[in-house]
Formats: sequence, C-alpha cells, structure tokens
Amino acid sequence: MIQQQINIPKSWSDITVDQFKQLMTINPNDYESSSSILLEKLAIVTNTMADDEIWEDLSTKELASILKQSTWLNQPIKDKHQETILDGKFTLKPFIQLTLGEFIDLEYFIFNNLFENINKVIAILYRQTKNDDWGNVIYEPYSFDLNKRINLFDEIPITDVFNAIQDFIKWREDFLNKYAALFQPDFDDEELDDIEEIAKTDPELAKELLEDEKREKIQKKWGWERLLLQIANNDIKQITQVTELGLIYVFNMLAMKKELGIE
Amino acid sequence: MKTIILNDTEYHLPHQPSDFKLGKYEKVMKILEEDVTEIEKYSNLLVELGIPEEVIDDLTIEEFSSTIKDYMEGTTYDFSKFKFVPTIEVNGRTYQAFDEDAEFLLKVKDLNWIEKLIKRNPDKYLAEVLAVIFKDIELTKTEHYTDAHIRHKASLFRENVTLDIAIPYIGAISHELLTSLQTNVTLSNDTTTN
Repeated sequence: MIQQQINIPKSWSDITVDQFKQLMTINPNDYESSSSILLEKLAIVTNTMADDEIWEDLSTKELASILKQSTWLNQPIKDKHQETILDGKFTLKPFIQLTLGEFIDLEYFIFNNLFENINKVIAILYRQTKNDDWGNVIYEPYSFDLNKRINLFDEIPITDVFNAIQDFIKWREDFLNKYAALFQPDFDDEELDDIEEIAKTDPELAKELLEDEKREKIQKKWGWERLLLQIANNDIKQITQVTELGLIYVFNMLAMKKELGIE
Repeated sequence: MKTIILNDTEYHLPHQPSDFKLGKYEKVMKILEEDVTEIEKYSNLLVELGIPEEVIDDLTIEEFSSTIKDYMEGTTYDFSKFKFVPTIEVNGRTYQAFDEDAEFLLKVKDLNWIEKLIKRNPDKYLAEVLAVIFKDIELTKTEHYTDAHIRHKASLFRENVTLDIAIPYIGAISHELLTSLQTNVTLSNDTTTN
C-alpha cells in the first residue's frame, strides 16, 4: 500500500516554504491532464517525484484515500506565525520600523508574483538583531544581498512565516489608507470623463486635460521612483540614503508638505 | 444481431453490445450526435448498420418509422450485467487489464493517459481507453506507455474488440472521474488566502 511507504503530511505545518512555493507555482497549462496535476502536487508534499516508482502502481482508489487525508490543503493557513525563526537567528521586524526601501521592495515582491518571491519577502521581514549598549533591540540594516539569504528559509515550516506576510498585507492596506491623500491625482477626475464634450466648446482646455491625464499615467508608472527622486531633491546620488529613512517618518513628512502646500 | 426484413430481404444488423466492434460503435455514436434532421440521422444510421441507401430511400414514412422502432427495441442495456474481462486476445497477442484472481483497479497513471487521450479527441476515444488499460503481456511498462504503441493498439482494438468488453471499463472510469476524484479534495491553488 502506498500509504505505508510514504509519509503523507497531516497539516500545513508539515509543509516547508520550498514545498509551498512549488505547490503555488504549478502552472496547469504545463500538464495534459488534471490527474497529472494532482499527482504532481502529491509528489511535492511527500518530497517525491511524480514519476517515482512509488506512484507507478497507485490506483485511483488509493489516490482517493490519500486525498481524503489531505483536505487540509484546501484550507487556509491559520497557524499564527513565529516571531523568530531558524532557532531565533531571525526576528520579525515590526512593520512600523520598516524603512522606505524595505517597504518599496515588499510592495514589489508581494504584488508581482508573491509565491515566486516568497523567500525574498521573508528575508526582508525577518532580520537578524542585536542589542545596543542600552539593551535595545536593533535590526540589521537592509544592506545584505537578498539573493544570498533566500535559500536559508527553504526548509522552515510555511506556517512559521505565512501569516506574518498576511499581517503585513493588512497593515499595508491600513497604512496606505491613512495616507491616501498623498496619492490623490492633482486634477478633477470628473473633468476627464467630459473631455470629449469639453473639446467641442473649449479645445484648449481639453488639450490641457489630456496632457494632464498623460502626465498622470506616466507618474503612476514611475510612482516609487518619482517619489524617491522627489525626496532626494532630484539628486540620484542621494536615493540610497532616502531608502534608509523610516517609512512612517517619510510619509508623515510628505503628508505635512502636502497639507501645508510646501513644494 | 437483429434481423430486419425489407422488401423480402433479410438484413442482419448489429444490435447488442457484443455485436459492435468499437470502431463501428464509434461511427454509430457520431451519426446519432450529428446536428441534422431526425430522418437524415436515422437514415445514416441504418446505412451504417448495413442497409443499402437505395433501399432506405424507397421506404415510405411508415415503413421507415416502423424499421427504426423495430431496431431500437431492446437497445436499452443493463450495464451492471456486463462483467470485467481481465484478458483479451487479438491477432494472436494477449492483452491483460488485471490479474485473473484480482479485481480491476484503475491506476492513476492510466487515468492520466486516458484524460490526455479524451482531451485530444473527445469524439473518438473508446479504443484508446481500452488500449491504455489492456497491456500486452510481452511488453514492458516503458514500451506500453508510448503514444505510438497506444495508437497502434487502439487501431487493432477498434477493428477486433467488441463493445461489451469496453462497457464495464468505461463505466468504472466514469465513476472514478465523477465520484472519487471530483468530490474529493482537488488541491486547488487558491486555498491559502485568508
């Protein structure tokens, strides 16, 4: 019996970050049948290969029995994340202490294929620490090479870190809502809807609005880069220092500037 | 076989599953699924079953309806009466689906192949399904699971194997696809967002 020969995981806590990543990045278009996708997923969670001899004679009856034991795979990961991982070597950095550079990179990695980038997200969120002379915890600066660190997290249980990422996503949403005014366009959206109408009576204004819209799109495309350049007073040599500024500090300053109308 | 008498001529038409080679059955099913008038459909059916077209063309509407009704009588089958045949012989070679003293268990590997083949040709796959399940006892697994071999065997089975052999296997596969795997966990990718 297959089930006597291989270890079927019983919950998400038995799945590593690497296995999770493999599960989540399966592309159904790469497979010719749904049963081969199913087999691939089972192979991932059992640390075998889909074409291993162990699966050679698997009957659909046995497969159904294995699937019955694996219903947890259809459930969300509810386990609370760990504050420290890898025997305490890395600690979850409080979100309010994130720098602008860390926040920007998290934005990018989370919203551009989270599962492919999950190790990088973990590497930014979980950091080495030390105590200063007064016993305060200091988090290592964001100056390490992400690519050299990512493999460290492959074998840790996904449950140790997954909900830290979920918590960050919720925190980020609240944070951006708080500073929503900073992201409002400079011109009235309603005017855009009527550009065609306006063009009939005031072509000059319509042309101006179209140019504003074009500029807005370009600005959105270069959102973070533009912000960094603005804070660095257009001096690209200063950008690295700007990314090291605290996120909350930067946004508070920007909000103040906007409210006071300071350029 | 079913005997139909038209213009004093007897025509012996395949009627029960054991009368139909898989290839013939596939053609019959294709005819019955065509999007044409009922008269055209059943005319084509009778031609396929063995009645010359000119004979059908000369039938009155009543004779045509009566012929169809007569033929269709007894074509509702109790599928549970068809037993699994573990071994078949075609052109001197033996093909086995399972051991004589065991029960038929569909392998996931076979299901994978069957799914692929049905996807490739949803209108014509009966012989291919049997070609996956019935393995040449003189070949290795590696030799069995190749497109060329399956295709060749399907072609042989189409001409030589009858529908009554296929029925229990098709039934078992449909059951697996509709119950065991569909109603169980499908391990979808969208399961981990809270």
